[in-house]
Amino acid sequence: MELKKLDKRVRKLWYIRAAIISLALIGCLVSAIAILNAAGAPDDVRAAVLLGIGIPDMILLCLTLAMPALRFKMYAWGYDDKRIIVKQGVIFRQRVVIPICQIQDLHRTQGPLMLLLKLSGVTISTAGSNFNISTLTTAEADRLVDALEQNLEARVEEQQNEKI
Amino acid sequence: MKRFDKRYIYYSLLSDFFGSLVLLFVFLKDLILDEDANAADIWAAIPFFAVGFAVIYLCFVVYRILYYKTSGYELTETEIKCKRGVFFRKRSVLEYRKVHAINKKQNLFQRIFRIAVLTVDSGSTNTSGQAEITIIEKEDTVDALLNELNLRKENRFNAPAKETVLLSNEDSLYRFTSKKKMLYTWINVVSTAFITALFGVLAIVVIGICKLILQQNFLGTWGQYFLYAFLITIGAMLLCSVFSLIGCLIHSFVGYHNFTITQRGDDIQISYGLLEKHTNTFSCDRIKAVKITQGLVQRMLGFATIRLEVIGYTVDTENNSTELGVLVPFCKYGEIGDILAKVLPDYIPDKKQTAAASFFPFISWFTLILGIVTGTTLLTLIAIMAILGAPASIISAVVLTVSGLAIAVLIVKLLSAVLSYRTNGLAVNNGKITAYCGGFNKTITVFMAKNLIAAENVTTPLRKKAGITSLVMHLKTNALSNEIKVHIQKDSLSEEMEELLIL
Repeated sequence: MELKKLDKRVRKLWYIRAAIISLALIGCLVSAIAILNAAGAPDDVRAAVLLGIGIPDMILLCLTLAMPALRFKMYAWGYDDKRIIVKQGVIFRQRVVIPICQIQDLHRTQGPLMLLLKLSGVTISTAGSNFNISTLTTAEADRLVDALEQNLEARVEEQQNEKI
Repeated sequence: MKRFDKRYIYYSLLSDFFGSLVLLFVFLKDLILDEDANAADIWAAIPFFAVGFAVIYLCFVVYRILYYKTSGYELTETEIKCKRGVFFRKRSVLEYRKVHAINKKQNLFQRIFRIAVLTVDSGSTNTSGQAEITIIEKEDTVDALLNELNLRKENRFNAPAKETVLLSNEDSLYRFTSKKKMLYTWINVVSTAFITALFGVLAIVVIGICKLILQQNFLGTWGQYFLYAFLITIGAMLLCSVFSLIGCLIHSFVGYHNFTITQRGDDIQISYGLLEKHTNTFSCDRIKAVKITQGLVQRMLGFATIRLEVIGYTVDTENNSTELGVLVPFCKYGEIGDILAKVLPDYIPDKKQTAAASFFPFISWFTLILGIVTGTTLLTLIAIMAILGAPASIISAVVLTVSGLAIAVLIVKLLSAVLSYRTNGLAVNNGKITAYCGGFNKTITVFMAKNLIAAENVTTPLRKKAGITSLVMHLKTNALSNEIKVHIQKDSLSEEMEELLIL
């Protein structure tokens, strides 16, 4: 089965999310500086606090900004008439195989940012776990849901015939 | 629709009364027990509390009567119907063929009024937090309903009477004897004492380092400090052990009173309890997995607990307790095969066919992350202390503490990794999968390949090169524990696992 890569708009969405988180992290650092200035803290205390908050803040910031590109590079998904395969993960790489006949419900979700970029998330519910296909274009998500529905019906019918 | 038994109202009002009294005591406790309170104030406040209590209790009375009036159930040819609720009305219909588990429960107050609660569960994910059908009826009516529902779900209600062998309690397939209960209790006490001692030692070290850093004579001389710390740890161990002993005695002797497993046709019935009596019935074909668990102390002494994954039996709908899924609370590890051969012969665990492929991956990532976190923390702390002009003795004490803690964590992880390396493995035999996993707590999960709903493998670039992967198997159950992870196996296994999926 040939696996597909995600649309470039997905990377854009992840970068927007990363930017929001980065703003919050920078906000923490700026707030600390403002509080220290307002309190008239001595220089050594100011430097110590900034170091204490700044180092973990910067590490998190670097990770947040690097992750979208790495995640996008590693993500792949695909399906045929019998199974869905999702590959993801930057360091720990996962490969999930979900048989189509085990699907119970299919959900398509959209947040405000996704709506803006015409993207959708797809959640596949089975009798035990929920699996997410991270983010697809809305047209692709619709196609996937329709195809899975048809494949599911055909597969269930096939299995019933096999039993008979 | 038939209403619940009227005694439900009396039972509820009695338990509400006691509940309200406890609530009232909590509110009044400060007023009554306060040494400065004067008797005149207390007497003046009592009428207000009495009126408040009466109003609240009246609300309960009205609610219970309304609940009684609006609730009911009906057994038709093909399904069971139930309605209940005052503010949020719920009407449920459940076909007999979809019944997953039937549970009868009776607590102390319900026993006084000779009523019992019958819950019928379909195992639907949508209603996993609560059983679809709840019936509150007279004790003997509940027993009759339990039998009737069992026959109806097997479609044998109108069939000519078959000779069914109903095993009596004396024929129980497993007995939780007093000797076993005492052993179970002592093992729990030893575990509690061990954990308390571990925390005690850790506290002694941390406080000792604080004493060193502050370079003060607080907590006396070093000799006095160690003596007091040792005595306090022993005291804490004794106190925790006594609480654990009392709790375990109540749990095993009262909670598991008259624990019996009986088999009737294709059904298994598990009943237990002195104050709250449980009778749980389910078909063998509804069992999704059998889990054999061993804590560290149980493992060292060769004992185990056997649990069941049955939707509708595993989770206590009211208390969200996982205890309900127990099949055998306590047995020797060597007896597991014999017990399962009697109760569920299809679920006897097979011996491991594969073992962990390598030891290093069990600790490599953990050590790397621990090293980075410890290193960053140490560098940051040293820089901060240097800026603040802290003396060298304090800096070295902090470095020692952080390094010591990191080494302690690493030692614990190393022990866990050694146990994981020895435990993790898999066996596949005629559509039956036996997964061995866990570190300090070992779990053996036995399930049928037909209940495997998805297969996942997790690897890193280096592990992929070495042909190593971790397997995650998703089971068909609505419990949160539906993922079974078997770590560091040969990657050819993931292909074999995918072949086992019913596509």
